[in-house]
Amino acid sequence: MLLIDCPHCGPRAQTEFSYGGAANVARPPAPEETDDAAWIEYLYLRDNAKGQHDELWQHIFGCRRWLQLRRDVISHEIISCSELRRPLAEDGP
Amino acid sequence: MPDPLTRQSALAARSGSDDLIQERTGLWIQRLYAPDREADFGDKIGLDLPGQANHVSQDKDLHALWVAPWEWLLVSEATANRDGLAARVAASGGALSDLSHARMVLRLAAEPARDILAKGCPLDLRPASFPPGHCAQSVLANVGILLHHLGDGAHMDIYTARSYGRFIHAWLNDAAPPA
Ligand SMILES: [Zn+2]
Repeated sequence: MLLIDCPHCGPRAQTEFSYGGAANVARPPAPEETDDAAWIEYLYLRDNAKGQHDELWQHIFGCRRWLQLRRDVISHEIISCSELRRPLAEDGP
Repeated sequence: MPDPLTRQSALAARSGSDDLIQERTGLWIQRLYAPDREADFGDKIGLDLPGQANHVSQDKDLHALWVAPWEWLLVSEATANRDGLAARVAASGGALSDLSHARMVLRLAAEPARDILAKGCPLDLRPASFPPGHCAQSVLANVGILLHHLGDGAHMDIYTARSYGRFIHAWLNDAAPPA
């Protein structure tokens, strides 16, 4: 179980949150001109790299806000958690 | 056939009574949305709104519970005409949505409530972390709830969607220690 420090509500159990997938996945700007391979890459294929990972989470049972979170997928340590900003920060939350 | 215009308890079909849990019926409940980052919104509409997360303010019979940045739940036992408030909110660029019939509200004594809720809710309910005058949204037995520790320190109110009312009521009774 992760303890996620919501920037609005404070530290809360993972069960209050909904995982929203990897952050920093760019949607192809012109889907109608994107070939199937590139679209499949965007929709489904992820690097699953060891180490730090930028993720989207929604505090669905709390303030309902979307959050941007950097997490170490080996140790499960949460390095940072902040309100989701658009556009996503290149250097993480 | 029930009269569709008569407001009924969420637990109306349930028989029996108990001393542990009291349903608060007939409440006026509104979700209030302010325009983003407008610090003087409360002054504009004439309400004392808590700016701090998880805090509750009280003005006579009206409670304002923080539920998200720039969002509050307004709750009152008085069903007086509040057209003036609705007009001020609209004029200030905010919005009110009426949840009076959408919520079931249960009141428990804080003392057994803390231990009962701990069986199905991940919140830290120790008085140091959840003192009187605070509220928090969380899950109870996988159902979304809003918990309010009343200013008197002796009671807690549990808000849940009305459709989960009988389930939450039964769950609380089941989790309570034998009388
Ligand atoms: Zn939150």
